[in-house]
Amino acid sequence: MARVLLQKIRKKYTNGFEAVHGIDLEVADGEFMVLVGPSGCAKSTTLRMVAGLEDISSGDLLIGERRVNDLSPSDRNIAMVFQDYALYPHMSVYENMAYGLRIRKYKREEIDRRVKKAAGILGLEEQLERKPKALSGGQRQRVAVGRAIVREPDVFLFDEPLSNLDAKLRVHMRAEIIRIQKALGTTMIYVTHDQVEAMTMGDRICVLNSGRIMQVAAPLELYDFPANRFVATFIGSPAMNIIRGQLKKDGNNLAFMNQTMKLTVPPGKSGFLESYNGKEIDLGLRPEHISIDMSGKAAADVVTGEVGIIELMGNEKIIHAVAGDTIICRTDPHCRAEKGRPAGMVFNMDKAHFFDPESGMNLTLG
Amino acid sequence: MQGNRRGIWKLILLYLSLGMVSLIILYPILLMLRISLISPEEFFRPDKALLIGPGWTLEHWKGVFGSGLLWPALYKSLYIATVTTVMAVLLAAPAAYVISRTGRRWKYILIMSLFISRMFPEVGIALPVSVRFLSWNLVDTYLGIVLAHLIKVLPYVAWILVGTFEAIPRSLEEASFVDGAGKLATLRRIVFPVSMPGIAVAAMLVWLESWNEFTYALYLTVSENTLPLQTYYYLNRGGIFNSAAYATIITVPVIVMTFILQRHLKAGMLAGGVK
Ligand SMILES: Nc1ncnc2c1ncn2[C@@H]1O[C@H](COP(=O)(O)OP(=O)(O)O)[C@@H](O)[C@H]1O
Ligand SMILES: [Mg+2]
Repeated sequence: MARVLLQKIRKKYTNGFEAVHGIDLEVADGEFMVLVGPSGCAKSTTLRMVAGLEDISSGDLLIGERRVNDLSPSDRNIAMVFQDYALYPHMSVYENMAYGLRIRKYKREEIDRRVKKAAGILGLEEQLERKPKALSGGQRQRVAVGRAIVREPDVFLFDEPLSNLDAKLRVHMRAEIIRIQKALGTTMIYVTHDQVEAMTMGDRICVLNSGRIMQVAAPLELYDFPANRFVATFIGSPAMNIIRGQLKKDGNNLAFMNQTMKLTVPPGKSGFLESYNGKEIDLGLRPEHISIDMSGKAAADVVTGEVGIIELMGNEKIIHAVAGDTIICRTDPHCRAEKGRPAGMVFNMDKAHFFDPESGMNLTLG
Repeated sequence: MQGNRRGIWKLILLYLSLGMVSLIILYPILLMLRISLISPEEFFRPDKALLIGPGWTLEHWKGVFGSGLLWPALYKSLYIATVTTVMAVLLAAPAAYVISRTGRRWKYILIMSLFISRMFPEVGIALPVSVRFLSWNLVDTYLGIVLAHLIKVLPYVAWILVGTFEAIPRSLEEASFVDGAGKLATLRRIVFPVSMPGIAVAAMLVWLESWNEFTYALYLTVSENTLPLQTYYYLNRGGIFNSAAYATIITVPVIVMTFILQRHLKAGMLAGGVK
């Protein structure tokens, strides 16, 4: 067990493409760190640099107190689970799990003990003699995890391990991986493109975009206080509404306005925004912070739009309404908004975020 | 009912066409067998019924087995084919592995260059080769023919093995590295075992190629014939019947190998390993 420290890690591929632009990240000992971001943002590249499967172009990588830049994967004492599982097809489940220990010349009894224990944890006792091809997708996934845990490494590196499973199994394996990681207390770096997976699994989440870290924070903090527009829209589903407009002085308060709406900026936030008076700005508000008012009685911060698509999810209704931009609201399933009819949307401006339109920085974090 | 009858017709048609194809393929082989067993009188009778007719004899086979020429030729052919196979795989496997792991453009150039030696007709290239071999004292030696056969088979073996190794996902090797194995251990314990079906296919093709090979053997042999040469030797002297017996002996391992080959070809070697 050990912490992992990335210092100014940069990756330039041989074709000249710079995939990772000098990132700093500390993963604490025993922490479950999720790397999340859209496809191609260099999650795998980053993870593979930690594993030693990809050279580090510059910067320092520390596992524990050791600088491991120049160590081969076999000397880093890490274990990895690959997206395609990468099980050895000619070996049985038992041999697959035992391989790493045999290579490291563990005693036969010790190997047997660890493999049996891992098989017990993962419910693979019955499959030990089978070849990978005789297993279901979920079982293969477990073997891949088993191969990692028998090693009792310093760090687990998982690269989108659940992306080939069906939805139900994915939810189940999610819980199982969390349970195993917590039980073993092994430092984990877990890569996924799925923000739901990230939110449910990570102690902390590192959001990546185009080879840069957008924010590192605990799930709820990431959700409530996104550092920038990218994180704001990437985390959460449906995504946060982003509306372009201008800030203007309106009496004592600042107001956000464009062709279709005029909203009051709460006093608590206006302090940060004085310098944007008269300038363009992006307003961000999550769908659940916009409610539908059919009575017409709501006084302030109401925007009238025409209702478009309505998605009934059972426990909630997602309403797409057009007021200049399309605005998405998440309401109670009994909301009586009708397609094609106007509806009043009440913006809860206390929950609003304001982003610099150029840099995308969240201006209201303080 | 209707569907059932259609199914039966389909089956009958399938077997009919299969039967015809096998007949076309089998006919020359059966004919060869028959000639090796026919009595000369019957053979030279103008209105003979070739495949199914009277006049069977074991004389030619007795002659072939008794002549003392079969066993040395058989031994030589077996020896050369086997040694060629082992050497071809040993030489081509490491090269093919490296080629399979190089960049796409280089890979293409390397594979194309492998086949340059195959661009010239064998009868053309066999003469300069044998002249060269003469000055190296390789003519009329086993080693000489093995080397000549390697010229012929190495490109094919390398090509098949490049394909085989390419089909092995990188992640399999990477998993092994992470598990603590070095490059060599990974080759020995993961890459080669997983490629075994491909290697076996390549080996069998080489073996067959060398076993059948005629041109280089002809140029490089003075005293001891290989089996194909021995077949030709009889034919050259009008010994049709003995030649047919030899041809049959050459064919048997080919048929056996081909059966084994087609089993290997359809077995999915990577099944279950990834995804
Ligand atoms: N071997 C390589 N050579 C050049 N570019 C690469 C290589 N591998 C990945 N890339 C590029 O680096 C970027 C990040 O890739 P990757 O780390 O696989 O992304 P992710 O795992 O987040 O989807 C992508 O734009 C990809 O095209
Ligand atoms: Mg990836």
